[in-house]
Amino acid sequence: MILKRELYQRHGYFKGILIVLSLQMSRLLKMFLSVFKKDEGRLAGSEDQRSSKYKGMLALTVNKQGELQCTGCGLCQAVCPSDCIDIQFDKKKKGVGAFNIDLLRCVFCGLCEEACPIDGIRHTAEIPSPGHFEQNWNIGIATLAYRKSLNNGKGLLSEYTFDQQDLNQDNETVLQDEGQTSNA
Amino acid sequence: MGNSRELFQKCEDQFGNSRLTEYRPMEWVLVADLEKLQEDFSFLKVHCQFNLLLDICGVDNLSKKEGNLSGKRFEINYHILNLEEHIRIRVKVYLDEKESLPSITALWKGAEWFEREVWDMYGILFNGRPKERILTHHEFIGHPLRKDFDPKKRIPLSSPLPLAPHDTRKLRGLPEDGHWLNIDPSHPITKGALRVMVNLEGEKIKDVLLEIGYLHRGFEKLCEGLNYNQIIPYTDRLNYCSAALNNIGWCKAVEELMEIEISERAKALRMVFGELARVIDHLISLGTMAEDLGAPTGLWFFMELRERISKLFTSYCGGSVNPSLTRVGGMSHDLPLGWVNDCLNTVKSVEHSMDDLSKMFSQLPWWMDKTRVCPIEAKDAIEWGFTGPCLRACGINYDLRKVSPYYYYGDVEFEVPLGSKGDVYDKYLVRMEEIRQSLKIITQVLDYLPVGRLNIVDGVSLPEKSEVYKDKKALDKYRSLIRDGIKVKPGEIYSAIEGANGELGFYIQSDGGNTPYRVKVRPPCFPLFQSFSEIVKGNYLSDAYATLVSLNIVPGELDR
Ligand code: SF4
Ligand code: SF4
Repeated sequence: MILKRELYQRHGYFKGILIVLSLQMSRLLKMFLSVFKKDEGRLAGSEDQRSSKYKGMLALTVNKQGELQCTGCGLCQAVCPSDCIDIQFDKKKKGVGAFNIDLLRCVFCGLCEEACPIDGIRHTAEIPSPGHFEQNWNIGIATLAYRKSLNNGKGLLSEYTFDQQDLNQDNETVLQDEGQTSNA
Repeated sequence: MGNSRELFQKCEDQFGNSRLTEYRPMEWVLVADLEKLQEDFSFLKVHCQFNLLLDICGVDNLSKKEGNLSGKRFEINYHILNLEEHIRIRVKVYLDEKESLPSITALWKGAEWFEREVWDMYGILFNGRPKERILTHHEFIGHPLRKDFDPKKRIPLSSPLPLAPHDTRKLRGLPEDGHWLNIDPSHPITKGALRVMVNLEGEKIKDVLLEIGYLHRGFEKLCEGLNYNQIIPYTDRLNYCSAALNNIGWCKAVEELMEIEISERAKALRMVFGELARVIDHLISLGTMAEDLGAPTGLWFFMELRERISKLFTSYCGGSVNPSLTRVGGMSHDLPLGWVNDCLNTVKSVEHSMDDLSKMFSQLPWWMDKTRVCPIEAKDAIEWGFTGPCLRACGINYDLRKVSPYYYYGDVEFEVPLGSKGDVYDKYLVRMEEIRQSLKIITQVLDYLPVGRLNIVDGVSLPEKSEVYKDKKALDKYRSLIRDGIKVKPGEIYSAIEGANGELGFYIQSDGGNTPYRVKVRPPCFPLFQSFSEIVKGNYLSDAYATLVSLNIVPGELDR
């Protein structure tokens, strides 16, 4: 496609000033008018201006009893491209002993959220800022699951609940194995 | 098509059929001898019109699983494009550590930086070229992309190159007269850190020195330790103005290497997001151009449009700058409710504002005074290896979306705008028009958006989460896909898409494992920036600023 020839023809200075002035004026007018217009600014697929997919500060979810949802299977640890998740499996408890994320290494990619089969880890809409953790960027369960901003310290409720049909029995043994391998 | 067969015949007669193979349609491989390399290149260029050098890429065969066929440690791959038949040829040459290659800068001016990069990364010397680092710093020891280089090793820089250029010029044997001016590593007109030093006589530029590598993050080395899906977040950081296009380019390359077909819906969505990213990239480029040329309000007008489109990205995947929206075998997830509607509304409003904006700049005398500078001839542009809007501004009709259409680009209607002189004004016009064409593509695709499941590729896409904890088989599959990643059969590929800045190519070599053996990005900025010193020589300093922004150099992609 050859661009229109007239695009290469110059306007005179006077005409130029007129064009630009009129355009700027109409913009200004529009800006004034837009004050009276109600703009919801809502994004598709979410309730407010912040997208529900927002990739902010990570959080671990809890189940109805308020315990950690995570079973310590180690899938998020395996998928993390920047190697910033560290999970210690507690054999006695048959669950996670420690769950640490090095936030300075995290690239906020969302792969861990995608990998977790039981909605155990999630991105929230919070933006981590230097003041948050008093320079301790390697945060553990206490901050990840029960910080003040998550339901006032009670933690986010996971969307996933284990039910009768699930492969509960099988999983426990499988997950235990997984935990051991991830510790090794 | 007939012509390409003839061409193949001609090359076969010259090289013999044991050396030349048609590896994939439109992708030929020629295995060359070290002694006869120069001859082969001149035959390819002069008689077969392979005249655009895309990339030079080294590979270290030290730790290859299937053993080393040639018995030599290194291989160098030259990728050259035939602009008429749209064929890419890969010239492969094997050599040992002690051997050196002939330099091909006499044939292609643009080869210089690529050759420097090969020396920097692999320590392979080119005859007649000094040992000059390009991406790593000047005190660096070793060659990082060799397989026996430990990436954990840190090589500190004791003293940086002196910031005042009059100290560096002795180092590089440059003339000592004239006035040196430093356009520093962080200047408002650059989109990242790069350094331009100009030697002035009055206000005219006599000499230019470029320094890059400030944002070198070792992307290619990083890729060798990650599996194919884990690389996607890192491709975001290549050209951060249009990250979605990098995601798409990477995934397309991997999928072509695996020979898998993704769902129709995924293809269409990739087109939509790719074009949205292209629009954003052009808007940023035009905005910074306006700001730099003395119209700072222009920046806010363009950025306001960009903000509207960014919202679409945010509502889809939560990040407007680093979206990571594709996965090998499809997309990360499906569109949220009401997204298509929002997108169509936005497209309409952006189209409307673009008309206003073009009135505000095009044809205006002060804008034309400042932008009708530094023309580039089409011949030079090809010599340097230009692609994308900058090549089209010189009047060469080459757009990958048109000439070798991928996804549904063959089915949508759009036109390729062409400039005539290749000056800054032409680049501005081409970008303005490309935005309109991209918006046109988006509406067409959204009108016929295919329905159905998004990620359908067996053994590559993750099974649905709801199934995973109920079905043992699905759980096992799920776990092994996440734990081990995708396995890719051995092979190599050079796959390119039309990025916002030009041809964005990924060269991948796989040895059958779940991590790539070698990844090379062909960044469109690299040849563009290389030509900068020659374009602006003899022009005024203010024209140099204009040229620098119009080339749209993004250091994230330049330095990798
Ligand atoms: S967001 Fe990405 S980098 Fe951060 S912990 Fe999750 S997987 Fe790792
Ligand atoms: S993938 Fe989910 S359940 Fe498994 S360790 Fe990570 S957070 Fe816990």
